[in-house]
Amino acid sequence: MSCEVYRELLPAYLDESLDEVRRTGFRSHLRSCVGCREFAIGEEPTLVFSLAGTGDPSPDRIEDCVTAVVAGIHQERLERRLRGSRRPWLAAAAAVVLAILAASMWWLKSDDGVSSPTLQANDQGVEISSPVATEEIPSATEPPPRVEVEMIQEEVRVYQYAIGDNGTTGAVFIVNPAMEL
Amino acid sequence: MSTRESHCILLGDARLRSEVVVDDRKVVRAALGGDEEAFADLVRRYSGGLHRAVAQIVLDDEEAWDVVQMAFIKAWQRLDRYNPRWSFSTWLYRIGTNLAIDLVRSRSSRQKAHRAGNEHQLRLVGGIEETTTRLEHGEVDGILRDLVRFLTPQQRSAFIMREIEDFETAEVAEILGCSAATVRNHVFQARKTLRREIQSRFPEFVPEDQKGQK
Repeated sequence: MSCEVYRELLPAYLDESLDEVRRTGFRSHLRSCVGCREFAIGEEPTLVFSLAGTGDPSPDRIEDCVTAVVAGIHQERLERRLRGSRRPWLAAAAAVVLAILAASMWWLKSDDGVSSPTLQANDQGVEISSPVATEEIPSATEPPPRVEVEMIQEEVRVYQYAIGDNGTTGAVFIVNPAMEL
Repeated sequence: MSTRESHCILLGDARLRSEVVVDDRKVVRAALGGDEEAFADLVRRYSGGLHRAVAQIVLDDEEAWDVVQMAFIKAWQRLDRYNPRWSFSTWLYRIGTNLAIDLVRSRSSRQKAHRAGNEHQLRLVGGIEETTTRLEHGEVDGILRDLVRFLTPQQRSAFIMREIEDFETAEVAEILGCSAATVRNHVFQARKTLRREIQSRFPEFVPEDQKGQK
């Protein structure tokens, strides 16, 4: 195609009415033919940007990007694996076992006439937060402590209540489901 | 060059492009199977072009690299949602452009653009013929970066994809999530704004008979 033909295509190019194949040809001609480019810029100054964007980043920069992306993918995989290893049902079961153990200890100690037991089971994944009230020890004739388990999304809460002479003593365990068991 | 030769080259370009698209789909399938090296090949193939486009939107080279990396990681995470109806590059540019537009919106773009404008104080002398033959590609990129700050993020993206990255109108519409008519309108408005800014800031590119026109 001659330069004259390309120049005739200019209005259609600016109107966005050229088909894509001709448009691509027009643009590549504009990049390579100085005369047609000068003519086109004279008609439409923004066509100076037909020269823009032809430089590529250095290969080193591209490889840096590849390395960063692959590292990001590994990180994402690791996070996904960690998310997958969280098993709330396992945490709930562990919480129940811990609660039963704590209740048994409490029961045994109160049988021996020992003073009020303090729950200290604050291991990695288990926290004891805010006892509702700390009252006197329940006697052996009193009903055993009541345990309730509640699951809020991935978090498991275990409530333990014991009824004493002067009211109810309560403790709540919050089990972290991310805890490795 | 004869018309036939030229036509053959055009057909050759189109064929080459469709071969690249088919090859991309094969690589995407391999990546879906967990082949990281296949995905790394896609990064090598498209990170340069995506960076070029994103840098013109966010007006910062380093931030543009961050966006490019985020776009690829996001693409990897969502690879199973990729619709092969579109080329991989279209899908990738859509992710990258959206991230770039979000970034432009979320930061104080005026301040950044002002800084970028000050960094590039390019003034050329002489007539059109002298200047454009002397122009290095990097200089044109600098002028473009200096002026695109006057465009909205959508106009900026449409103009860059269409005029610099040579995407088809339908592809740009897919990338920006709008209609082809909207893309044409964005490009039209962008050209109008850029013409006005060139006339006031780079009069050497304006023919004598057009100077002073708005």
